[in-house]
Amino acid sequence: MRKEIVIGPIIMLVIWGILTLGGYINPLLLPNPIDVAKNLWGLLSTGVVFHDLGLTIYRTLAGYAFAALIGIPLGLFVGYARKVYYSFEFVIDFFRSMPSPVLVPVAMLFFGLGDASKIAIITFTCGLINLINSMYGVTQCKKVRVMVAKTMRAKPVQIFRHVVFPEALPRVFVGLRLTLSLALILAVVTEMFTGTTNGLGRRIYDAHDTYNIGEMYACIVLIGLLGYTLNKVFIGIENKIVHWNRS
Amino acid sequence: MTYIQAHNLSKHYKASYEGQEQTIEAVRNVSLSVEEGELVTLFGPNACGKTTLLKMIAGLEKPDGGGFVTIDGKKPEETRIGYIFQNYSDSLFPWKTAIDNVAFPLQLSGLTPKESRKNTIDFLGELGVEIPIDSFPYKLSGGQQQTIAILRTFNYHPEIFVFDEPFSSLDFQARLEMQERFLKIWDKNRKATVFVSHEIDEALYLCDRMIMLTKSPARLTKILKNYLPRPRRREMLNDPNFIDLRKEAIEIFMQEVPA
Repeated sequence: MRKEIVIGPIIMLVIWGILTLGGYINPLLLPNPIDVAKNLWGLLSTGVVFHDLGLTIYRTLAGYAFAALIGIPLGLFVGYARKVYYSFEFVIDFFRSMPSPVLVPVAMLFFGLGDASKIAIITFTCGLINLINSMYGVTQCKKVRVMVAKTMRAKPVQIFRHVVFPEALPRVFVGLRLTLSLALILAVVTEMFTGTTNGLGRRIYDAHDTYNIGEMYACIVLIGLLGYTLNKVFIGIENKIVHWNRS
Repeated sequence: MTYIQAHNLSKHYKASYEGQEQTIEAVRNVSLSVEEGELVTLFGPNACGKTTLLKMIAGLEKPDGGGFVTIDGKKPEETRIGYIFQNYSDSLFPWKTAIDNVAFPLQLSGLTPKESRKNTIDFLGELGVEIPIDSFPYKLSGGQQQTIAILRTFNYHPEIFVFDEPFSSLDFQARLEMQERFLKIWDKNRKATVFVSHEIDEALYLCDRMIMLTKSPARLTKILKNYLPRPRRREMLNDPNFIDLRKEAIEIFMQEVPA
């Protein structure tokens, strides 16, 4: 890691500190960084936030995993069966273009107010993104590599296992990276709007409603850190697995 | 004994050029034969249709009506063909290490990864060729990568070899090294071989016979025979016979090819 990485955050904290401690901003809108840090420490040291944090992580990862398990195999399949894809192209593009929060009422009708409706929304939205990316992974396969296997009389299953699947993996991982961020976004948004009583999204909303602004910002920072950590861990895994495609 | 027999091969393509459907003639009435254990080079200008001709010989493209290819009496589709592609970075598997790339044909045949690796190491030992076995291809030089691609094809133990300008994207020095390395490997596995090249020195030095093609559509103009003994050595390039042969080849090229 480069040393320079700390410069940006320090500048940000300094500006934040000057604006708030210098009295340029109403502390009801934005408390100073020390207040927020104290709040965050309070949430973590007393452990009150862990229940909500755990639920948000659970919903994010459950929806994310279902989206991967359903979207990737389907995408690889339609990558092979182009006719199937063309038949469903409109349907896929239609749902993919739809802002997913509009599905919240539908999911609540079908799956109620519990975890199921949140996980369903994440699965549906992220699943489509995985499907599209996995499909492109197959269709953008290098023809020469497939030809190498074919000239050596590889069976279709072997061509898939040794050539097409690894060839598609970098694109599959593009989908997995995009959906990881999106799954967290959707988890928090659905926690705010589906009448749940727990989760980080709910906690932020409640803190706002009760003018507990310090806690609200502490939760926002916490979600930011969670998203950042998930993304870093993911990129580490991605660079290990699709090492030939390191960005 | 004749091993590869190509009879009256022609090929037309449909292509759209500036929005208009056009028929492009790539190869016209080429017949040729390759003896058992013989190395024949196809020499011709860039984009003359050499690759199309090669693909027809290997059964990857169908010749137009009337043309056919037999290999030891069989169709190309029924023959084990060792095809070496021009672009090694597109043909190697970057997710496999060097040794697993070379072992690929053995894995296809049903051996476990461990067995195929072991057999491959034995095979490399027999050939006397060393490669950085645990490196991934993208970490290696162009020459090393093409060496791996060639070894992978030899490890398939094909009945014939077809090479599509395998050294054309290498720099001059790597190219010379690869010619020697290729000859060393090939000398231990002499099979009927068709080798496409647009480098006249390379095509002459490697071959038993060099088939000269015109510019597009590819037609056969002349076949030159190289009588130099095998194994070939670089010093042979100074042999008076070879110098005469090269002179003749260039004269034919000047007369026939630009026409």
